[in-house]
Amino acid sequence: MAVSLWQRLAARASVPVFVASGKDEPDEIQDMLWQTGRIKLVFTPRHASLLVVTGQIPVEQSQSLAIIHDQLPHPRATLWCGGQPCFEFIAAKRAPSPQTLVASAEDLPQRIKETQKQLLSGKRQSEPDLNPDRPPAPWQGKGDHGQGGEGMMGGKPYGRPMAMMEADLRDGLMLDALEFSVGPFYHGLPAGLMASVSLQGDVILKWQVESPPFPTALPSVFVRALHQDTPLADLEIWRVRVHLQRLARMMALDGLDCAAVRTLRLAGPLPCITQAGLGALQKQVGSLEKHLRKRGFFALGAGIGELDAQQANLMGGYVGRACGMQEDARSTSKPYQALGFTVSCQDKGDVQSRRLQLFAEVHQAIALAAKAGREEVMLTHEEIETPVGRLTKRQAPKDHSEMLQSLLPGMEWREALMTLASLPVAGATREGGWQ
Amino acid sequence: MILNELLLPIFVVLITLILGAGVVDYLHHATSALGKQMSLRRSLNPLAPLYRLGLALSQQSVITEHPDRLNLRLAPALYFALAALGLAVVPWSADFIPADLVTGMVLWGAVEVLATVVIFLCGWSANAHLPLLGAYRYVSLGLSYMLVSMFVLIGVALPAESLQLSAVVESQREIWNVLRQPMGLPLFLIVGLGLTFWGPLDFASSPDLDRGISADQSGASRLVWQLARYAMLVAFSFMAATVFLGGWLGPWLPGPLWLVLKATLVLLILLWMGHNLPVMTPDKFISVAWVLLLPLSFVDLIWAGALALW
Repeated sequence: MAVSLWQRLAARASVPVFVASGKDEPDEIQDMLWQTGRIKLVFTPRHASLLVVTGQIPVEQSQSLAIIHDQLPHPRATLWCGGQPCFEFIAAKRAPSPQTLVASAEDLPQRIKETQKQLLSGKRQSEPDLNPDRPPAPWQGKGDHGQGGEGMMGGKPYGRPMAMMEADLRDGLMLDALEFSVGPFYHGLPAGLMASVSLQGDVILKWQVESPPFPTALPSVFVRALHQDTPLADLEIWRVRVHLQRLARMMALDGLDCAAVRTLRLAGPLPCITQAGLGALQKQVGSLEKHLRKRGFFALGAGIGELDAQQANLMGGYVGRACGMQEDARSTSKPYQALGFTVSCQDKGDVQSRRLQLFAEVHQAIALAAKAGREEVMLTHEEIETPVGRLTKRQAPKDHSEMLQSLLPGMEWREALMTLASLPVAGATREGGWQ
Repeated sequence: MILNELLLPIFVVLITLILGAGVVDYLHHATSALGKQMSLRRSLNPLAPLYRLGLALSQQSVITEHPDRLNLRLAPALYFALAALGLAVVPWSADFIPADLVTGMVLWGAVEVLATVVIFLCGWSANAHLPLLGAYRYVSLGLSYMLVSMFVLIGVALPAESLQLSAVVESQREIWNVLRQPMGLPLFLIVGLGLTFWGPLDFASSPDLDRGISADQSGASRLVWQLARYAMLVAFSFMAATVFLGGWLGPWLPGPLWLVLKATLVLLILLWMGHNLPVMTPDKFISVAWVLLLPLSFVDLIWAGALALW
């Protein structure tokens, strides 16, 4: 097959990639791809050439993944990394080929670029649809036009809901309400979270969780500290890393891509950081915070996603402390007390407070890591304060997606996603933690 | 006659928009890559827009289920046509004005209003949730910045005592409007962000909506919409350079070159804002627009009126 001029040019462009994250996938791969040259992560499968599936996809989500797959324009391909291809997805058309499997995350960027070249040169066939190209439901039902609603509104023609009048939450005016489902691979939601949503314009009327987010794997260092002596500096460095990664995702959602990538570049090499590097890191984080403050990153979250005391108490961790609660497992640990640890808090409990709290905890953790590293402090404790909440031998941080059903209605869509990005909604699992 | 008064102006407007869109694409991606501290060689590669063009043309144009096909195809063409209309009234020198309308400023105002219709059409006709939400959002916020635009543009028409853009440029021979009405350009830049749904005012295709009105576009159909959007950024930059930075006026260099340089400066400011300012929440923008920007545009107008009388 002759390769056109456009295809030769296209082979030199950045490869647009849509990432679908599965279970036990701590977004590490996604963060790594963000920083890689000639790879562009996109928010929607329509803009992608390659679908990268990271982690294990549960059987019940495989149909959703197949829908995502079919939304990619031709020529397209799928790469699986960190999990086995889910059989329902693959078995629909063919057996998994070795071409689609990537053994390690380090190989992924190179495989992405090679696969794109093969697709454009015709050496690799574009993947066919997994689902038949027909409406998910026929245009049938009651209503004047057979769409199943009233008048010309409502109903689910072809399985796609149409807007229908409902009373506005704020003033009772009858306005169009639109119902649809989001997830489990919507980039603004935690991986795995599926919800049925009713929107009036931009305002959320109803948020019904259909399936909770996949549990995230805690960094193994936190689990280890429950059972054996672990360098306290390591715990704090991993806290910095996880907090910075969370902040980077918030920045990306706000359209601050450059700042997000800069933040991930700070977070990426942290597990190998030296004592001397911690001083420089403190300065870089300070300059990043100043940069973001000037650009309104914190002010943007003021008054959004405010939690009440009960909700904050339930979530605990940095969310509780952002709400003014002096709860931190580190305050009861002797090694931390010896290092002069004090609990830092905010007072409002909104998105702004959580963003400020994360930065405050990053600064504090760097200082603690530096001091603990110098004094070679070790820690074993029955309660560990992880970046997403408290961990004990019996209990890991829980899933909080049910809370969203009462928290999100009344918010605008964007505010809801900002709120979601600022909360550790997914539960944590102790197995298979990151090394 | 036909060559000078019809074909040449059309050629200049179209070539400016198409080449300008390429420049916007290059500058946008280059500044983004530099901001992300990517390699200099890759960030500044002048052929990168061609690679992206090749990629778009190599991809399938996916069509959503039961779209309004006519309007889906018309929307980018209309948006591009509006950009061309807006650029057509911009004078390049004392002698060369593609369309020297006495009501040039009114035409630009009409471009801003009609852009709202076209952007809504683009989101609505895809027959998909996220584009529809982006379209709704854009329409609900459009009025907030269009009123500001109206007052700011009346402000620059006052010293010229005309709505003709060539007269507005002439009125800046002594002092540019950016100095005479210091609030005017910052307010007009906010209008530009709204008109092109760029950076902090990118409500129609923001990340929280998976790129909203563009969420279901791919391949060539996405390319033409992107071209139209970049073309509107170019047209706006030329308009801002004309009404606030003295247009083609300037020493030593030819007038058209001055105009291009000033428009590029405006473009760079818009691109910088796009990379460095977060996308506002619609609710906050409504408050800022009505409580702060609109009163400021009144003050700007009163200031301009007082200066004109003095």
